[in-house]
Amino acid sequence: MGNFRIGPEQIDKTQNRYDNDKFMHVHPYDPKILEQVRKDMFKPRTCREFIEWVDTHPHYDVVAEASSQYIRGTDQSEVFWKCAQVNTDWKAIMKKISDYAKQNNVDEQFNTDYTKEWRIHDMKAQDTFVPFRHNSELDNQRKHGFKKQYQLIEVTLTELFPELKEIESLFEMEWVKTDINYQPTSGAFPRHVDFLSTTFKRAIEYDPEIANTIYDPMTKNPRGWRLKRILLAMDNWYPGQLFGFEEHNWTNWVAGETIDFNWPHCRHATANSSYNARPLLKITGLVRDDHWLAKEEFREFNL
Amino acid sequence: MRFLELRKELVNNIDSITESDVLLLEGKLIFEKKNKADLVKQYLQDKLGATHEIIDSRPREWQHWSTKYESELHLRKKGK
Repeated sequence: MGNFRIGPEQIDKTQNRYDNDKFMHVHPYDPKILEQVRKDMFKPRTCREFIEWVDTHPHYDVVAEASSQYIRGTDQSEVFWKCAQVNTDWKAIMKKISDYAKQNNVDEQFNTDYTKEWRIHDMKAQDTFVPFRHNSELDNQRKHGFKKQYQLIEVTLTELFPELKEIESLFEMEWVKTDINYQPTSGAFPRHVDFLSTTFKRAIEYDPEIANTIYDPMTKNPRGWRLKRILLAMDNWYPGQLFGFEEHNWTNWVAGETIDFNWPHCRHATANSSYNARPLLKITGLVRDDHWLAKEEFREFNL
Repeated sequence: MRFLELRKELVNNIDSITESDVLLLEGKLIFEKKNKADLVKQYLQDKLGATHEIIDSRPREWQHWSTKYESELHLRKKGK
């Protein structure tokens, strides 16, 4: 199984064949270009073929936009939903995270650039977790002034937060990867949809069954599987912390509250306009169709 | 409700609507021809009018677009 890390010289420029690419990255995107890209996206592919197509596409940001089929007016229950409540000593965990952030100057020095997914420390073990942020997306975001977005604090690959790794295991995901998505005050991440490609690519790289499974462009999942990303609030909500899913908003959360959401289609955005950092535990992985998360069941855990 | 599923339903149920008549932009349906938008608006009104407002507006014209559009529609849940 080949490695999916792709250098500039490997990008397939033949895909750059749209009539009017001068304005490819200009918002709002031309609806006709989105239609064309969506048609490309729906060509039958295995997961491996699909991720190669996305990864080498010169206009990733347009692919992402075209992949979203969200219709305004969709009920909130189809946009995000509470999937779990995790009851534990969140105050003690928050103290650890706050101390870590202080030691690493996370609140004062964060700038979303082209480094490895804005991680605070490079780790050898992270090398096989191929960062996916495509430069065309970052270029676009930075052009619009989104230069301070969030920081990722590693959980899965370190022994710094064993209590969070225990929480990660509650969700019984395969190819799971967990980070603290730590958004200091003033951070803002603009509207986007996901492909969850860092996790997806790793599964494809090491698991031939997933690599050769048909990709369903309607659900943006491998057939028979669900890519899942759940978000767990580790602190109570502070006024000014914003998490928007188009016309719907997640707000007033309490520590331990965990949501699942329609990441494939509903664009979402975050901003921290409060005076307190906003740490979310971000757990991403794959589950089979019969998993309780895939069936949108709710579970409460006491640790 | 996803765009391609909705569009298929519109094409199947409204005689003069074809796929190319209905495009998607940021959660809204967008139309080159207002008469096509009006047909879709009526269909959506009949189907979803009890729970949703069907809002039509004139799209902004952008210099970087290849086409001009006469109408756009979006849904808003009632009671919000």
